Amino acid sequence: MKLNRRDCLVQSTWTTGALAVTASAMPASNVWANDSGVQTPVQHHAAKAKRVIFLFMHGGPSHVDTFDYKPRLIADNGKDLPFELPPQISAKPTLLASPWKWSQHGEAGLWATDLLPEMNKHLDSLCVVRSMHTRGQSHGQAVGMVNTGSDNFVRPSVGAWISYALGAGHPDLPAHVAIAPATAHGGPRNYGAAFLPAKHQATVVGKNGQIGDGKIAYLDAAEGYQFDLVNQINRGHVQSAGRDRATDGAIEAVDLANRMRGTAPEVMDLSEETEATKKLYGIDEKTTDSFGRSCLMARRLAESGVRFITVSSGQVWDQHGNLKNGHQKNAAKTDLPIAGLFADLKQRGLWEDTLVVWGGEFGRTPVVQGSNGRDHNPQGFSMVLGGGGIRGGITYGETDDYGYYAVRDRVHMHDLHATMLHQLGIDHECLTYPYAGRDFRLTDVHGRVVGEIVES
Amino acid sequence: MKSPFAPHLFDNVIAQSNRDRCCSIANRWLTARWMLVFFWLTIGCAAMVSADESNEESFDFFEARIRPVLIKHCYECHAEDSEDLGGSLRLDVKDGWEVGGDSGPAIRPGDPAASELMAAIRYESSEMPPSGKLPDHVVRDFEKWIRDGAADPRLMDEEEQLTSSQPKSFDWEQARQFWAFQPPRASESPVAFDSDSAIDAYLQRRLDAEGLTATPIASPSVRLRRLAFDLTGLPPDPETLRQFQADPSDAHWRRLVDRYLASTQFAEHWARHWMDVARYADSNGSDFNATHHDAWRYRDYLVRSFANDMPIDRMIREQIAGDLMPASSDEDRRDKLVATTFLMIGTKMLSERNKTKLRMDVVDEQLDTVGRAFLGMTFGCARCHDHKFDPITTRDYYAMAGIFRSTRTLHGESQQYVSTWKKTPLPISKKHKESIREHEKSLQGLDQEIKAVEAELKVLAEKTELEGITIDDVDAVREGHWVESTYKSGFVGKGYVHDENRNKGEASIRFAAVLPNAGRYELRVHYNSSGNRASNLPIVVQLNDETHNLVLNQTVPPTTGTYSVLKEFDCEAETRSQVTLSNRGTDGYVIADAVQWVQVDGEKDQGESDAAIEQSIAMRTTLTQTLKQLKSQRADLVANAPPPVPTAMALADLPIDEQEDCPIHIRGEVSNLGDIVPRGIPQVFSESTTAFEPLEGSGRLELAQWLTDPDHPLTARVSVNRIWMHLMGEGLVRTVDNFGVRGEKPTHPELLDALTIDFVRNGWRQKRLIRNIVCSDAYSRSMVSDDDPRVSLDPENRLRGRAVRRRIPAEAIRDAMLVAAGTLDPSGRENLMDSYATLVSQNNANSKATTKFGLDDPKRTIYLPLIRSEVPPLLANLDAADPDLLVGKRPTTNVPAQALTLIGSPEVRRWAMQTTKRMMKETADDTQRVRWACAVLFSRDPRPVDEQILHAWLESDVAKAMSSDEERYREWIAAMFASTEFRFLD
Repeated sequence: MKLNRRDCLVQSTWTTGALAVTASAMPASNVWANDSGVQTPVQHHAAKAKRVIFLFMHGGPSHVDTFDYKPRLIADNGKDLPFELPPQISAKPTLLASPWKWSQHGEAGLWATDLLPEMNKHLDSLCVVRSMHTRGQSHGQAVGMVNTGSDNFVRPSVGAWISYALGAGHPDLPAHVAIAPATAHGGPRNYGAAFLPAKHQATVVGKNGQIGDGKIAYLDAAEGYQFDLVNQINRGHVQSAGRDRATDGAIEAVDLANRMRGTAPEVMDLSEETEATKKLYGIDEKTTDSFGRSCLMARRLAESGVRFITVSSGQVWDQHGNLKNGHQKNAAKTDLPIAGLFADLKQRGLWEDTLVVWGGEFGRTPVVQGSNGRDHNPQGFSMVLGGGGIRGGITYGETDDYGYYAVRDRVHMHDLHATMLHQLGIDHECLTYPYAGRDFRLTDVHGRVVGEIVES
Repeated sequence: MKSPFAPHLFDNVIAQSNRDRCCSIANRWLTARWMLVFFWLTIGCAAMVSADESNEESFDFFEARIRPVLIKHCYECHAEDSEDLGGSLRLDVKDGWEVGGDSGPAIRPGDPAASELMAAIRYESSEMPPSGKLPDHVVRDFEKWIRDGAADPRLMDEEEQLTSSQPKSFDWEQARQFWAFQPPRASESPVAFDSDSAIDAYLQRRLDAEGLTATPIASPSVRLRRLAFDLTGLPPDPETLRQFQADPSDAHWRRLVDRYLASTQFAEHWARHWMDVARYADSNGSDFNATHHDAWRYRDYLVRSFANDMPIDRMIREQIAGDLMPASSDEDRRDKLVATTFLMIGTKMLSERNKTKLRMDVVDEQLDTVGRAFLGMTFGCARCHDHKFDPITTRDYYAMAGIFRSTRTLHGESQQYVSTWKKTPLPISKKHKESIREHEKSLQGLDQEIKAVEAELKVLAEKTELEGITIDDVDAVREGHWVESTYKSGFVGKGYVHDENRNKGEASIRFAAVLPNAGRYELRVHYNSSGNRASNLPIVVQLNDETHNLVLNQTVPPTTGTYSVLKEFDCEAETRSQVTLSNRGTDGYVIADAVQWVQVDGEKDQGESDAAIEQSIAMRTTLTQTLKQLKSQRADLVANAPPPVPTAMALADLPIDEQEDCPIHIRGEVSNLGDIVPRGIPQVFSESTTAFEPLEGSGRLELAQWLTDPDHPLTARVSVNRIWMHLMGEGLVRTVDNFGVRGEKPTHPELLDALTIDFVRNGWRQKRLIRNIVCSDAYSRSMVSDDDPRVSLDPENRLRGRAVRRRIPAEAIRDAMLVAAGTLDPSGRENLMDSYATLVSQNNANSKATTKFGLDDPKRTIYLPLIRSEVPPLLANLDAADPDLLVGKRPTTNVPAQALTLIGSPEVRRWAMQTTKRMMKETADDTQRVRWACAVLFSRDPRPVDEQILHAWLESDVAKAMSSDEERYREWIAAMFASTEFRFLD
């Protein structure tokens, strides 16, 4: 469905107005405002999904070695690309066929290599967008694009926008969590709030693809009596000197931190899970343990009301050389846990209202770099979506015969963002925030909801 | 350049200039009008011609092949009822493509190559339609249709008139009426600002008008705490507090104000305010977190400038164009170069591979910063389209963009695709220069000597070592695991191999050679020794069918130079020799470098040879010693080198031939260029010319002068408003970075104007303005609880009838904790980024940034490195300015993370412990402790509740279970650190 412009304008006056009030006039501490303690989500239309899990394959996995089947690339292996390379590319024009075997999967018969065998088992419920394109030939820009919708400026991250629009689904938990985010390529900027209120930045667990101890910083460092003592001193302060919004907010934040201390560790405690579940995610297996924990944490957070969860692989997918071994190693670490997450979401009835997005900041060239590598390819690549009202067992869009440029039904990163917001019931043109004299949007002045891949 | 504001000053000029203006506007209007008529005539003719020539056939072609494609693929975005007309271009009517959109006419009938539409559907420019390229045959249809004259029967209704989106015009007369573009007006009854009551008189007028009563003056302790933190970012010391409580007179207050204004701490604290707006950082952040090695000089420039009360207009000029201004001394030159760091330190996408785009992104960042920092204007919007709210056009934007594009910010690459900047050497004294030259000369001399000796040694080595037959390790046959190395010097050839002390029994290396003559040969084995080498290296020597087993101890140095003679053998002519070293049963690293066979019998004159060898060994020893000596001399020289030429992160104009006016970038695209705009100022600011004429250099100097023109309506107002905000919590214009239409209007316009006029008249001196504000009653009023009826009458305190509680900045919170702990080191710090290389952290998953001078450092927070992406959580959670952004007014948030870091972070816990220890030493009982803690942490006398809280805590089971008094009191002090009273000013 598509709103016509007039509806959008009418709603936008109301919703952005309401949001602006939330942001400025209410005490900033009212993170999860209203009586129930939970913000009423912005809904421009009926939502299909309540939350998003973004499986960020940082570094750029190769689409021509995973989901974008190109017989011509196989046939013309070793020949030169028949058209020009884009500028600023270090690869040679020689075509390189995938070292992995292609076959069709499931009832729908989607093509995929045997690089990600476990994910392939879910292809009937996934949609492969094969015509992604984005801005940024280098990681920094492209990572910025996928995470914030901007390749060159400091902008709020996707998760921050969603937190701003929906708030958290749990009064004691944040709306936006980043699991094992990279410190490089902009680092905190990729899960930051930029000019949105600070509360929308992600709460972080682990870093650089490693979930670490799986805990929120300083949450365990404090004891209940410390909060009590601070509260008493604060009460003494306002009783003698008067109360105001600022101190109300600060006092409430202490309460909230204390509550979070009570809630979050339990939500984030993986030890409660059964052996069968742990096995599903590959936990306690050497190769898959860390990413498996990240994925399981994502599920626990998702079912507890967190709205946007990024699970980062770490910047490991950047195979300028050593494609075969590098990609194989990354697949070994992530494939089983991801399939485990899919299966678990399905068996718990969460799949239907959880939008899952898998992909990197860009894909890789069908031409070879060095002798066995591939360079960056923002001109055309694949991303995989599932759950949350996305049609399964389909592909959308095409790259050219070799998988270099997206040519048919092109989907820009802005379009992906527009679609993600759409599934959450948000019109990307109406979700705005005033800053530096104008209203900003996640999708800037771009973005098209890819209606073709969503269930009607 | 003549001041564009001059007309407002001299009435007689107004008439003249108005007349000029009218004439010139009339002329221009006529010209434009005439051109438009001409344009329509041309188009009209063209249309008529094509209509005449067109026959049914070409319309048929349009109907059959073109119109359906347009409807299917283009109308969604390019028709009358499109939701958002793409590129302002309509394709549902002939006039649409004739007039064209943002890029001008879309089709040139007869000339497909010149038609923007063709480029778009060929995906050569804007890639239309975006959903996918049209099939080739369709593209060919369009080409044919355009070549044949683009016959199009879709005429528009007569009353409808389509105008090009390009020359959107503002009603400038009206735009200039906006308050912020009007020069500050002196009030009808000007109040002298030398009196303390001037500000209050202005505020009182509005309070009276609204029937509101102001709150009384706050208690001395509240006032003093406010003053100390506002002026110095530090709490008042308890002794000063005691004295002021004893004598809270106006005279005493003024003495304190002057004392604080004269302190270094004042300059540091106010420099930090400026740094918020200057988006100061010691690293680039973003994708490629490059170190700003020299940014600290800019920080110190700010501290120095505020300490000396440098006029703000001069600071602004120096920060925009210091490099182009004359300097009175080397020191002045240094300051002026360093000042331009302001334009350099924005975060940049250094790894952007499209350098044309990067250049315009940098220009945009600079322009946006200058606009918001000094004018409170948001220029950024106009990069892609005319500003939607303010009278700023893309033309204005590119007029200013040309200035920064003619300036060199980035220069060269630090690695492939990654841009960097050039470090600008700063002027140094003649003596310093000479000592550097002297040093370089000595160093060069020494290096030459060292080189000569090394060359001699090399010749000697070759002469002695390469006699006979030498088999190097690279020519030997290896089996098993060997690692090549050059770690220890003194080897034959390019290196040697070793077994890594692993896989014993699996590695061997075989040196084979044929010994040509019959006679006696000695076997030399080359290696280097060390304690971790094998002492029992088995060596098997095979000479034809004979086998000899030898053992070599590599823990001891070779007997001669780099080799040991193992044994002599008598050989027949053409003996096949094989020397095999293996690591079987060895007890340390096995090194294999080379094997050498030297004939030692009658063939050569033995005596002479020995003598020669001895001589060369002696020579080598001498040379080696000389070399050692020279190298130690060199090391001494380097260690005692004069300080290097200091460098600044300064910018410069591009060479004259690269300075140029900038074309409009349509929709902000670097590949889509429009008219070239002469460098100058936005049109709304000038009723006559906007271009800088004549222009020397980039235009930055002209820009700087224009910005700081005493009659500029914005710059001084914006500065005054920022200073007011830092002291009063909110600006007189609350949107301190936005004085545009979308910003707020001033709550007290007359006061703002009066303050501004006084500020400019008195030389843009910050201290005078600060003194005037803090000596007003308004500054010293007490706050009231939100439950007080006065709050509901003016909830946002727009009339300034009371004080509003304010949060202390993050830096001051940390500094105050250090003061309480008694560990604050008040000195500054230079070269704080010296331990960082090009990057503060590598772009890979395993990188660990080596942060030096972290939170536990004893200096003031302003002297800690501010690394983008790595702002310490304690500071970030307390709303320290995000160094990625220009922050005019810091937000005050209360996220749970703030409470968690204040309560749980190890630094705060440590400072609490240090404070506790200090307190325990200086006090004897709980009453004294409460008094001490309230004075040091809250700058006030204790209240009964303070002691009650302490007692309740000490009586609690948790406290009793603790093992020491220190721990118990530490929890209490830590809780005070985390309390609202510690971090808010009442």
